[in-house]
Amino acid sequence: MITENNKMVDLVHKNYVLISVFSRFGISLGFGDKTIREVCEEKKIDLQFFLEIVNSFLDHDYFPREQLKSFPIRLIVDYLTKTHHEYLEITIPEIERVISGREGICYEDKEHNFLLNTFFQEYKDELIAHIKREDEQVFPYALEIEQCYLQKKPAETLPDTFRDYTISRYLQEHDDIEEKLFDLKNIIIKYLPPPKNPRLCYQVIVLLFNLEKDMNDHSRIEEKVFVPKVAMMEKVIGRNNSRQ
Amino acid sequence: MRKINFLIITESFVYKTGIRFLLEEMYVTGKIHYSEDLSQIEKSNADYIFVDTDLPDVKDLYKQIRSGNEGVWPVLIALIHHRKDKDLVSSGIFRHFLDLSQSKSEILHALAEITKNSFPPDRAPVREEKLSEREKSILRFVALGYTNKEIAEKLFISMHTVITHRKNITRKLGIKTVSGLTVYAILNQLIDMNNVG
Repeated sequence: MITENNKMVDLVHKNYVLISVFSRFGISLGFGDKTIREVCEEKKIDLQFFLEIVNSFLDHDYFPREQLKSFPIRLIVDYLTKTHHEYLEITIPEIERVISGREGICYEDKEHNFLLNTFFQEYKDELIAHIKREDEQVFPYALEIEQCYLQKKPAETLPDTFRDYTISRYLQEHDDIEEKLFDLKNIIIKYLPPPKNPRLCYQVIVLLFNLEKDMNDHSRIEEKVFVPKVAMMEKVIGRNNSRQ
Repeated sequence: MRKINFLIITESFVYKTGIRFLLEEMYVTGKIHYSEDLSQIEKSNADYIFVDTDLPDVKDLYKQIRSGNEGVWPVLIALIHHRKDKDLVSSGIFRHFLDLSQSKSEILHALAEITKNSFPPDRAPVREEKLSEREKSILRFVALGYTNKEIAEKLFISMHTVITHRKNITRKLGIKTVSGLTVYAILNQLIDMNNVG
């Protein structure tokens, strides 16, 4: 268990992937000997929220669902949005750079490179569409719901755009993006022929596994914390699925 | 393939996590299921039950397990350390003993030995997961973008049968999406790339 008195540097030694989690909170390297509490105070980050996110990221068995649900939607949405941003701006372009062949081609046969690239593009398009839908519709909706909830306003005061929306619909929209990523890995590992450039393929695989791990963590927060919390608030302000 | 169910009966966190860790080492994730829920003991469909022999009422537990599981009884494995409890060995309650004072490799071997008959661990050679001719022809249609309904009509089979075939294809290949299946079909010359819309 990580506590506020742990040093930032020790966290990174524990699991260096946390560096990308830090960046979502606006923290970057060069911590010196600062503790978590010091860095959070300096950057005006909610200390408890930061600790719960880091702890549940480090230990998959540690998932304080109720604790996480107690944080304001604003905080959760901010973290999720930053994560999306990182996927779109950094992670996906990184994978694309390797797969697209700009740094050399993975396979001897043109057709194989083409298949890999096409499949990846399809995955990418779906992911972008999914993220956009969340950023542009789901998250703003959730923030409105929270406003209504906090100010004890009835659901009728919601802006027109959200009249017919409910969070349960979002769960149905939470489509097969994870399955595509799973397939992409298996196609490279099992079904494409041995690559001409194993090093490049290895890079792709590492990036895909990292993305998958991170996304599992991300969707867990969405499905187990974000959605139930919004659904609970919907109920309180008198909004339910039958309204659809 | 159905999952192997393990039930771990102990109050010790260290035992629980230790056993879980070893089982995960032996089996690829997803193939096993374990539970620590004691209330489930009578209707558990566990294949194997690990029992901490330090628990006070081991014999009562045994009765509970026998009364709840009709016909097929789960295999009971006693968790012991060093000194085997003479009473337990002679009581005939347990079919196996797992000595927790052993090294990792010894325990893994013992576990493999215990489970080898019913469920071979992943290291054992597995049968080849080849697609049948029927599955191949269905895969061809899927890759070309036909819906389940269309495939059923073309092949004069029910939708239900198509869905079952598709499940089997996905299980055998480890590919879940239609586009993934299309790539597989092209790579294996089941369809021509030019036919894909």
